[in-house]
Amino acid sequence: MAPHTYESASQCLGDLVLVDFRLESTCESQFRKAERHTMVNSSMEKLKNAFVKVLGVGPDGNFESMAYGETQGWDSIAHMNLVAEIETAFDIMLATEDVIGMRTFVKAKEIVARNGASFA
Amino acid sequence: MILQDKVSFITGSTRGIGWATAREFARNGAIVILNHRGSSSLLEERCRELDAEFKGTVMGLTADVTDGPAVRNCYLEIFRRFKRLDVLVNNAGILQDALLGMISEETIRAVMDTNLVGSFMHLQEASRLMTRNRRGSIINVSSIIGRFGEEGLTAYAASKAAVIGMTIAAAKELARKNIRVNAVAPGFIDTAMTNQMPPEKFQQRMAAVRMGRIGKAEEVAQAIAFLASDMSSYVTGQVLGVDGGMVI
Repeated sequence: MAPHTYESASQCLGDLVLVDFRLESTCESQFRKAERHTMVNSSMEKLKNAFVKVLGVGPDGNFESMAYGETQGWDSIAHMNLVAEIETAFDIMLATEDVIGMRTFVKAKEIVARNGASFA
Repeated sequence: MILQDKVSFITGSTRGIGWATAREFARNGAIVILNHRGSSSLLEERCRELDAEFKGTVMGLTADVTDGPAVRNCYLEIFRRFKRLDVLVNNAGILQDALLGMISEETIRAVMDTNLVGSFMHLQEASRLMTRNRRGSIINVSSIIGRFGEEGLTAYAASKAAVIGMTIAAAKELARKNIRVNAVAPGFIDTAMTNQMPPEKFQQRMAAVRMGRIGKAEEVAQAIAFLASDMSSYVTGQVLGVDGGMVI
């Protein structure tokens, strides 16, 4: 089967954001890989964006070290706004225990992953 | 219609004030979510009645307000179906009549669990769902007894007074999110509860109502609908007495 070009893969993908498709051999596999890659990227981006938007941190900040009560601006009021932002971004609803337990960026990633997002 | 398409969850809504509220909301175009802790057949019957009369969107959720996971499941279901909640009416409640010295710990805990803890859990879950859209209205059903007390009803009075405290505090916290929290405090209302009163006591209560008549559940429902609607868009942290000028 002839390799598909970027253009043909794009037709498969519709509005999804791109990866480099040219090494892939079928439209279907390109779709799967592109979809997965897009989800991975967008999950991390979405989570970071929520922190950027609510806490006012820079997009290139050290997210992995961010923690409730330690990172500037991450107080109780910001926490609830952060929860709402994450829930909206991922279209999920977190359990109260997760709202309470989400005390670091790393933990937030874990909780969001448990609710269906892929970071792998 | 003042509640057109507002997704509205009313706890304890198969009878009395809750049922009257559900009907008032449906009449005003709301998407009504009914709740009952007992038999699902009654809930289904009520859903059918609303649907037949008002032709709007109706949903029923069977859950006890004292059951934390069940309460949470209600909101997951509301989120799944509607992606939002516009109005919560915290109505479910119980009343136990007993004099001090004769009230068991079990009774005190049961009253507080249903009237306060259950309402608190609903308020917390609802406010999180409302936060996403940065709008909402929560109406807690307190009681004139919670404002002024009454002998034989200390546990009930304590729980309903606590509901008022919860209302005022939550209103302050949620105002910046454009979520309003208010309470209604019904007086002597014609419900199954009052119909079971001894005639002597019934007359005694009636004598305390300045308007000289017992209130209707529909009149409380109208006050709740007002607080739920945008007609009260600048009203929060208030306790609205619906009592015909009752003095106790």
